[in-house]
Amino acid sequence: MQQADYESVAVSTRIRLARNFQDYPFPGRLIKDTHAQEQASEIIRLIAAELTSMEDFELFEMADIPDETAAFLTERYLISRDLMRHRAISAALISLDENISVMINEEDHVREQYFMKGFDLPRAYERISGIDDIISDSIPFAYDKELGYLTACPSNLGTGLRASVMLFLPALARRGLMKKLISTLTRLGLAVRGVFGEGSGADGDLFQVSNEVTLGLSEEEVLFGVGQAVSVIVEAELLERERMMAEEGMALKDRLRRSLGILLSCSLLGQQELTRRIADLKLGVALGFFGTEAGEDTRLRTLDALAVDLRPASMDRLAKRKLTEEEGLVFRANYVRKNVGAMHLIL
Amino acid sequence: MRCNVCGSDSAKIYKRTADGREITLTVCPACYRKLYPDDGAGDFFTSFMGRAKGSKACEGCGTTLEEFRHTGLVGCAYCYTAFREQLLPTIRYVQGRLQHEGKAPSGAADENYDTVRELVHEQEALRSGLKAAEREGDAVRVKELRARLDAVNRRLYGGEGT
Repeated sequence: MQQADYESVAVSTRIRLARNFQDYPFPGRLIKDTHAQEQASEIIRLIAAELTSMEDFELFEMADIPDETAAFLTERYLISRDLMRHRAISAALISLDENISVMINEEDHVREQYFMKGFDLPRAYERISGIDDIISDSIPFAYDKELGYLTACPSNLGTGLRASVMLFLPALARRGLMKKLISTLTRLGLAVRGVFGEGSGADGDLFQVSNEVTLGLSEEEVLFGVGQAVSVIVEAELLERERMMAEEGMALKDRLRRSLGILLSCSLLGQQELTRRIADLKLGVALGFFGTEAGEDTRLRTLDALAVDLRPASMDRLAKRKLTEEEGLVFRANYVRKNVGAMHLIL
Repeated sequence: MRCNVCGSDSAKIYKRTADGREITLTVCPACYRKLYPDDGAGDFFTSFMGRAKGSKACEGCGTTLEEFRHTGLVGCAYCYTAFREQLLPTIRYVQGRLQHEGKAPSGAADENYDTVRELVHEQEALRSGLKAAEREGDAVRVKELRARLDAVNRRLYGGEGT
């Protein structure tokens, strides 16, 4: 299989390590403590001191940042929705290149995450494990020889490792095959979720595949297992795309080209419709319907970025002010017309 | 009123919601408690751990087993010592295993190994070595490094990789 084929399915890789410190109550308990603020500040200060001395990180203390900034970081997957649950004591350290996000006092004291475009689980793990070593060298993590790294929820014990790959699966989803795939993956100890994690729905035919088991399997085994599953899903998706082409031919081409037409000529555009039309364009690019001088990979990434940049809080940043709902529809349509137009997708 | 379960005369009418529809039960309070021991709590962990015995609290943070059953979360690292016996069945059910494998913090284990990191570092070294050997036209070395790189890639990805 060609690298480009993988790139049109496996969008990004994320590795997360869950860690806690031995001598502080875990966040869910800490928040009820009378000295919660002092203890939380101490944890935040200790981690920030280690990381900011190594790389360029920005510290966001959740209690201090406006709701818009929190929404912006959530939309870009840099923090989880759960981090806001303990807002009074939580924080995030985010690297300037947005590849590393260390969430503090979410469900666990530390949630270290590394994000990268494309599909390379071992490399993403290697990067975040380095950050993990930096933190643990100065503040010892809670660890047990049998149970591994100790976490607030028993479902994260052991390695504390969650390896996720975000997959673009339009053919499997539109042909009604996700249910079967999800049940097979569940039997193999893997989870399939929407892009915003547990409980979120599929958005733009994007799904996250990750491991469930964290205890009793080494990091190498987990990454290998998730990687193998992703390879199989990628092949299944590519086969379904070919079947779609064979079975639907001109009708499929027509549908996807109509989406391009709408994005190039609309005056009002909602978030949901944008997500759906962008997914159509990505599928069109992957199927070779829309050629350009730029590589397929570049076109797909431009479209992915567009979908994220036009989520409500991110769009307000682009507009440099809080847009009303009506203004948002107009702004999104104008922005998309300009940017999709600039891609010069050839019919 | 007659209890539909034990037949005693002390039945009452209870209303509950199951799968989104309201059901009416005519049972005595004792049978009702037996049928729905955690009425209102709706927690998953109870079925694994049974009812709380006493109200023992973790010395580290004060969390009780009852609280764990409601939230599914322990309160601190010491909870795993305080409630080890009671937590192990839940851990086994969720994880399937009870012995950690893999990375350990430095100083915590006899051998602090992080296989993936070592393999990725080896992969990076082999890639740059391979480039240098190709530039120098050293065919023997190129062949040897390619074979080693393939072996590392097979362990990391299961295929040849790049």
